[in-house]
Amino acid sequence: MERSLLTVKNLYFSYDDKAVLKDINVNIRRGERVAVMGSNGAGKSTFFLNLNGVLHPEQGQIYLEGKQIGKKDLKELRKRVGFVFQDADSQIIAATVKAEISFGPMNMELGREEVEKRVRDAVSYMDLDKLKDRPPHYLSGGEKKRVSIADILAMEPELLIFDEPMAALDPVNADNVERILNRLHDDGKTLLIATHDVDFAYRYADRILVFSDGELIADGTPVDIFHREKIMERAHLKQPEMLVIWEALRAAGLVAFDSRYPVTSNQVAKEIAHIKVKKEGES
Amino acid sequence: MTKTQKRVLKFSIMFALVFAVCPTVSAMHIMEGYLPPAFCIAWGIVCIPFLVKGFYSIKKIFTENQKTITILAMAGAYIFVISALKIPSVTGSCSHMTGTGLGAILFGPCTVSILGIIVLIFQAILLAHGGLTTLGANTFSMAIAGPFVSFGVYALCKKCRVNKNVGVFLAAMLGDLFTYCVTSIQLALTYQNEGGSIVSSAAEFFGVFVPTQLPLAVVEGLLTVLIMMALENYAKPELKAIGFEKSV
Amino acid sequence: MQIDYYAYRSNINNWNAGFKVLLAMGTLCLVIALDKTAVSLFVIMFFGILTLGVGKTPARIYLHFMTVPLAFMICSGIAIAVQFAGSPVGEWNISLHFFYLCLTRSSVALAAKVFLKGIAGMSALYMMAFSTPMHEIIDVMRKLHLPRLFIELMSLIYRYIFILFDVAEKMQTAAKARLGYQSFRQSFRTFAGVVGNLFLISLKKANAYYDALLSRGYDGKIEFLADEKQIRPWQIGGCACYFTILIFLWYVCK
Repeated sequence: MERSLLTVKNLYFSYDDKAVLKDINVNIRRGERVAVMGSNGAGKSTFFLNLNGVLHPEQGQIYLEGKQIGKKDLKELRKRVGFVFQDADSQIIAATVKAEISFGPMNMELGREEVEKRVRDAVSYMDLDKLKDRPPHYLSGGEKKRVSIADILAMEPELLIFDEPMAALDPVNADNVERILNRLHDDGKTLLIATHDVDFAYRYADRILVFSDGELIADGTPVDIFHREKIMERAHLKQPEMLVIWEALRAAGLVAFDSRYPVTSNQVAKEIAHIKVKKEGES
Repeated sequence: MTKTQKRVLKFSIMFALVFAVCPTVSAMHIMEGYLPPAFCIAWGIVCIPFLVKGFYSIKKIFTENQKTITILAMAGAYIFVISALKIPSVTGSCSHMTGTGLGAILFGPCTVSILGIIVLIFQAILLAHGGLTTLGANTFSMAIAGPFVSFGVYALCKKCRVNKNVGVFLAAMLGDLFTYCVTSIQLALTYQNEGGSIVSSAAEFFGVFVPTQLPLAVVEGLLTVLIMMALENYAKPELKAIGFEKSV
Repeated sequence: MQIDYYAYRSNINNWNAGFKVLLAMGTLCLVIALDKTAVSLFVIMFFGILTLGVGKTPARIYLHFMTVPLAFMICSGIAIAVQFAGSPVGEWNISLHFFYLCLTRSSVALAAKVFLKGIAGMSALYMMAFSTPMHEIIDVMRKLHLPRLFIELMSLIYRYIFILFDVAEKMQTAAKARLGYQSFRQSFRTFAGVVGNLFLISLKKANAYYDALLSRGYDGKIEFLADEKQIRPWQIGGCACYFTILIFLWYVCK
């Protein structure tokens, strides 16, 4: 049975009298893959910093496994909720990859052996063995991204937050990151991912949260969200290609109206091939 | 661009063209091996009280608000980077700003003394400007004497209600000039000519370095004015956040 | 930042950092304390071989960095060698009507000696700089128990320098693409703009970076795992031999 991992109730936050988050209510269950969408400045990053314990909500509560987080438990929150920043450079502070990955575990005051073990695990998980003694300032963008993910993995959090993990990466590196995200899901991690890529959100997420102007305006499955035109308009979203194609096929009466929505391009291709076979059979 | 900015710009270009500026800031760093042990140690000792004062002021800033750690580090990196950027010059030679005048105006002289010694260590090891045995002497001239003069001049101009831009210009330029006066005296004390007095020796070193350092000081002053104008135009809230308006 | 780049590629990068720092600093102190031309020459040769021969730092780069303080060397060399006097007191004199520029044998010798000392000092410093990444040097300083805040600032500054350089370079390229360096007048204006903007960006980044520190559990101190590179017996032996030769040279010249 799914258990709730993190619950946010009536959360408000503002910078210098400007309200950035207004009355946010979310419940995130263990093992979920949640995409967080909305235009720039909608409040996603501020929301994440609140979940991660860097910012403290002005009003409202955050519960971790049912336990309310007070000011004293912020450290606990930071340990169990990891945040991978959009710009890897803003995270990296050490002069070698290995030292960099050790920063989080060192702050958790684990023993040296435990720190070494966690760094080793994170390095092999992210395939960084060859780079582990290199300085981050001579790494490529994709490599830095992997280091910044390993940083957080070494802290072994239960909930991982990614802020636009594919931004500014080439297609191959973006695919790599997606593969990693899939693997993390398979390993039972709970994932919260901010993204502007509707196709990715559609094929990857179980659930989408839509932010607009500091408010959570929608919370539902991808199929549900991408059929709500008002919501999409407000949040500057558009329909995923896959959905557009499927709707066209449906309108032409080529697939059954109650058929399930395909998720990957392979599934669509298979369905289309199936239509062809059916047609040839009919004639 | 405002009218004053344009005027400053015109003047600096004229100046640079007339003097065909070709200074190098590395000429202000006393090189490795140029000072005997007694002087290395002596100048190091002279620096200690300033550095201790600077360290405690930084430590106080830090304990009051841990957030300042990244701001202080960025300030240090900023001073290093602007001192390593090439100033455009007609002759195509490399010249750089010291950046400590600007640093002193923005962050105050105590903070700059600590950031300055770190920058000097990096300059010695990463850029080959200066050296480690001469670190004490260089710290005194570049991270202590220069910034304190800059800050003093700036505060004095402010008190006397001198035009702000003139104040910034004088602060940066005189800070630069004073740095290199101190360097000349440091060298003169070490290499006194037989029969000559310290004063005549210092004057001699001073004279040899003038053609390269005077234009640089003026250019640094003018650039600092341009930079401060740009900052006041675009970065008022940020300047306030680091306590700029308050401290002066 | 070429020195940093080559430090990671040096063949003697795998030597213990503390050992290299000790070798370089010890030499620096001895060069200025013993104050003998023979010692300087030996040091120049020894470290030249060590950096170029063993470390395989490209000679072109090494020579380039030897000439960085050229302006300083020339200016101070002139100031040391030349003396102003009312009468021609030197071995070589140039009359400037009001006074004489005098060169004496001893003053020229002194200038040459100081010059060699400078080159020797730089050879020792470069051996360290061209083979030891900055963070290892900072680690050595940490072991010497310098204040923690100072060390942490140093390591953050080292990291941020590269980020700011990157930003500055991008801004300059973008300005170039919009003809910002077309004329001398333009380049002056562009330079001031870049430096001013860099300040804004650095403050903004400082804020974001602090959030990133906090999110990874920062609580007032910065610590990393550090590996220690092994010192080998032959290195200690070689080092002892080297310092013995230095002292011996000094003793012979005395």
